Amino acid sequence: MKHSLSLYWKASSWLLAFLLFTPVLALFYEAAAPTGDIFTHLLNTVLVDYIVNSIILIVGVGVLGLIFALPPAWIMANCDIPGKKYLQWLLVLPLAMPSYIVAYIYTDIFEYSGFVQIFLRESMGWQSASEYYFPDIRSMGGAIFILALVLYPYLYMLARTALLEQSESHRLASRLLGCSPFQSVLKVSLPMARPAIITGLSLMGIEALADFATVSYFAIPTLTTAVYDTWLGYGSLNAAAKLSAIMLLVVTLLVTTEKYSRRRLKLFQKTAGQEQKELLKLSGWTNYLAQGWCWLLVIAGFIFPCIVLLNYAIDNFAISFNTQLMSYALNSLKVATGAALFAVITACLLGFYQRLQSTLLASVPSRVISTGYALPGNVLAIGVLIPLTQLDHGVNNLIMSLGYDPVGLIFSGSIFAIIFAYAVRFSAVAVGSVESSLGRISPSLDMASRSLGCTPARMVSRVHLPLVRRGILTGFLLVFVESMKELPAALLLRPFGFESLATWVFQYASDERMEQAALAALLLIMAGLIPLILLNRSLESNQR
Amino acid sequence: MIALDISELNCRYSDTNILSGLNLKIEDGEIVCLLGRSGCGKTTLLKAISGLIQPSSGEIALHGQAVSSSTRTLPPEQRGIGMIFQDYALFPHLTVAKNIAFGLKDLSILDVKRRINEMLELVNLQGLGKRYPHELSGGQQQRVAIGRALANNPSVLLLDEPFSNIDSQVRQRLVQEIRDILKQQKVAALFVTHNKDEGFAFADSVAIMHKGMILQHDRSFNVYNHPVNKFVAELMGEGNLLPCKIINKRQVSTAVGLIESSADIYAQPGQKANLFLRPQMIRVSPSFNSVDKPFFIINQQFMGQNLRTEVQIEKQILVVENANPLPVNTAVDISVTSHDLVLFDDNESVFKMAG
Amino acid sequence: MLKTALFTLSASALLATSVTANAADKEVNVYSYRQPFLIEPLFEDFTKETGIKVNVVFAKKGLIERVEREGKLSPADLVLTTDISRLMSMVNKDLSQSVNSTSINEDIPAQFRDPKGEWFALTTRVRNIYTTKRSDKPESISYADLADPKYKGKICTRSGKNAYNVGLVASYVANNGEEATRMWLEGVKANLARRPQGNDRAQVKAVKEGVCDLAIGNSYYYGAMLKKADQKAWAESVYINFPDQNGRGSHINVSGMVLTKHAPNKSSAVKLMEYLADEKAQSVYAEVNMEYPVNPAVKPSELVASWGEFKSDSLPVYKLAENYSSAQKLLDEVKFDL
Repeated sequence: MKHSLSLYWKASSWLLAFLLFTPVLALFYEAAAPTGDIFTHLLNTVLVDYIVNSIILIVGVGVLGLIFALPPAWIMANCDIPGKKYLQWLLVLPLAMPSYIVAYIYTDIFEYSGFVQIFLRESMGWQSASEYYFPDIRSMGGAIFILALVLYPYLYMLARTALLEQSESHRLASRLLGCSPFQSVLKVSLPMARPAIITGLSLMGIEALADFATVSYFAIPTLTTAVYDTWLGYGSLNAAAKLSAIMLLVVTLLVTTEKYSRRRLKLFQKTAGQEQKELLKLSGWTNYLAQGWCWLLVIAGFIFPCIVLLNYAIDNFAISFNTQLMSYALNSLKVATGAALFAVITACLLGFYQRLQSTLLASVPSRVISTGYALPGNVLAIGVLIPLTQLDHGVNNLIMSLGYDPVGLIFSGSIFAIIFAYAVRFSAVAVGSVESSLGRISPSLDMASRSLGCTPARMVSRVHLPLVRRGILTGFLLVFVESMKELPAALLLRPFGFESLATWVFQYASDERMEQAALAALLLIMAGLIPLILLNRSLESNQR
Repeated sequence: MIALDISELNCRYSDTNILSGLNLKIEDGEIVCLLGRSGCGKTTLLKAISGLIQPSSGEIALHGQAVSSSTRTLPPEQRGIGMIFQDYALFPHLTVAKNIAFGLKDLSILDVKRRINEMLELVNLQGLGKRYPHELSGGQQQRVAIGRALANNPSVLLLDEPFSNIDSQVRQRLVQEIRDILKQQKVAALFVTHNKDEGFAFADSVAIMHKGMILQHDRSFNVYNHPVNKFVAELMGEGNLLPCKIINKRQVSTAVGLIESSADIYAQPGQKANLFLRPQMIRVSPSFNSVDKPFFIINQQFMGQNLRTEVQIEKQILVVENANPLPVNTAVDISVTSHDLVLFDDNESVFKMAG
Repeated sequence: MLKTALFTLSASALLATSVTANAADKEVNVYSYRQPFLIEPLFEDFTKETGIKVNVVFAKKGLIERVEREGKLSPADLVLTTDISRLMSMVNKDLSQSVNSTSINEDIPAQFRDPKGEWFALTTRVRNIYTTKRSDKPESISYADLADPKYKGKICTRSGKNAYNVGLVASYVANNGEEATRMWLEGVKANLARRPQGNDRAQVKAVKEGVCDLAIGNSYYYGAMLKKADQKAWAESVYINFPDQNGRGSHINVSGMVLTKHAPNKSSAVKLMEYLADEKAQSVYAEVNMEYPVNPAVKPSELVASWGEFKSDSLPVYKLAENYSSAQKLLDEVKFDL
């Protein structure tokens, strides 16, 4: 059903989408410029290795993510195990952990001078590294492990929701048709949850591809490294932009291919409503295995790193405690809230526009802004700087031509730049969650409200908004958590005197002295925890 | 041979008995309709038969082999039961052909193909094998579900409200069609519904379920005409409960006069009882006789095949079916067609044969 | 909805204005590649002395690019870097302006500043080779020796792409040419005990742990480690060696400062530059960070002096910057980090 929308609304949707797209556009523009021989040089030397590393990283994180996330998602959706009440939200918490903090802690534990190897040497009587084999944590494997550990909750949350929504009849049908419980999971439950699983995987993949902190800490050169190298090492923004553009294209291509491959499948979920599901009671070793797996994830991804941090914080309390921590925390909150609001407002504006128009053209704005998600933070930062500084120059020239004093860098030199950058990066997340909850509103509701005399705007405010409340909340909280953790863009774009928890912690982490910023790191995690718990609440009540 | 034998089955959910001492037998090739209101335990019974839940006591046997007891539950995949669901439960990620082939095991590719084609032909969906479920209509989806359930030659077929999502015009035809298929395949089937008309049309016999028990299991005709109690009687269709007094083995006296029974009455003469009268057993005609005090029509509703007429009898309203429209307030005489009368005692149960 | 959006936008813009509005006087804005631990005490002292407030943005990467984008509106007055390449890159991109201060010119010897005053070095640091105490301290060692097959599997270093290593490679290119450098890099790569990773301290730590016998690292890290309780043992497990004493001398790099082209607080900025070049600040560099001050009036700290006198490479530091690009390319070609 097509509704006539005010021109005002249409124009603002397109304008906002354009604004958020400008950084990507700026990068594409830069990419089009000639890059000299740098690109060829890279291609002839290290680029292929970097690409291969990136692919290994993404595939590795994806596979490990599946192994990590799917069993608990299935268990939480279908089984009754002790402690489930706590586990189902504990399992989400690793998302609050910035990957570089986890990487730091695990390196501290597993490297040669770490607790584990010291213990091994003492108990086995080994003297030096050459006498035994121990896997190197600072390796591709280590990076995959760490990234999968902090990113799996994306997949877990999406898959759990999808599995919960599956009607019991499908499970029973497959069982009666001869599937063992395990076969039933493989042949029915998981394939039916495919859209959610793929979405979760692509979120993980894109985050892994865009990650810089962890791979650089582990010295794994990836495509992102290549972008940094060319931009900062060779000083060629053009070549760096070209690489980013290639990355963007590849990501877009992958996501589109997947969508195309299931174009005929409509895995609509019947909202069976009050259906009482038969929860599987696990017994014996399966029970222990299921519980063990879930707890292991929670401990490895959250509890253990937190305990280590707490330990650091107590040991270094005097150095760690800083009267300014509160102001840093406030800065983090300010930026994260601003970004989340920005992203959510964008998501609503574009989501409703797309729904009310239901033309192909109307879906362009929301697709276009999603490209920002695939940009690594530092590249994004430069992408943001290009249009914002242009804007600043324009504004200042205008003001000066009117005979006033210039106002300086009001956009690029303020926290607006960081908020804008986060909005560019994370709007895709908010758009996704608003879109999916809009998708669940039956079109007959639109017709009902219109026939009851609502204008489109009134329909949105009286009918749609209350119904997508959860989607909006989910989007807000996810963007908030991500913005709390985000580092590279904040580092480069921050104005004078601006310090957030993340930048403060990283300053020490990068100097291998994170013990001294442990308190701030804990604060950072705690601040991300609250929205995550809220988020999980909202997802859960969604199921009832 | 008895295909499904359920004896003294008890199932409990957190201290409430959902099924209490349930008994049910289904012969090979027989289609039994399980009729009951929602909440009577139908779903739990299906889950117990399919092996999803374990009974707290009692036994379920398939073709003489015990599959469920309090000590042992054969997992669903080893029972050889077919099931049709209210929401069809077709696998949305598989084509029609793959849905049908889902349960086929140990067959060569060629045999699988042959079986798929047989099934498609059986359910009259030739040529639609490559479609996805959401590309079919509701009736077509249900037929795929039938094909899928029958492909594996199940020993018993369970049908859980299979027609509730189907348009009423299509439903009648589909009910007949599927009944024919089941009869042709000679499969024993348990058909769960809350719609008695579907039950009558589809099943050979009807089992009435209430509060976790089977109240009555008999040929549809018998259940309709000889309900064991008031609950069953009313579940099978509208009726009037008329206080009466037993006169003799063949006669009772009521507010509308003496009513003849075509069979012996087991209650003792002089005993008070309640007479259950179906609307179609009562006839009304305009009254020209001023001797008897007349009854008046207070409401009449056109129902298509007949008219539902309400007649005031003292303090009671009698529902009657008649063919001719009569204006409200018409004075009428009432007569009752002689039949095997249904009489309930104080406990709302039928009088048992003496001795 | 749109109203809310517009409100948010304008609100953030307003907020922005209040953040950046700064009094032109009595302030100086610094973009720093150097970590705040070292420079913040210096700035505090400077403020105490002059009443000029110092605002800092610290980042390890991208600050020059930010100045470039900000153009004439850039609030930055001063850029502090940790190596020569970034100083030169400021100059080459025409982002610097010359400073002609007698005070600075007296404090900093000519070889450590641009003839036209576009950039100034503040400290010098040596790229040392640390050797394990499990064997004797070598009589002499050169950078070229690092490619000697006898050290196969015995060398640890951080990423080749790190500015300090690129600087070292650039000096090798300047002194020996590209071909020789490529062969040298291939040799070094073949001798590595593990993939390049971590920072300079981590390499010394690896020697202590027996992962390798030789580590490449800057001089001041040695001092810093000796001063930290938990890292002392690492430093004590190695000898510090000044390479190429029989040849051209040890490779040195500099940290330094540049006045930006559009510096809004130029006079304050120059005052800060003068302060940093002056004895007081220079001795903080020497004592606290264990670097070699460029100001000849300031002696290295006692600890640093105890490592002995050494000959440094006579190659002018700005020559390093000229070879950065080819050093980068060579590091890529031999896939040093892979």
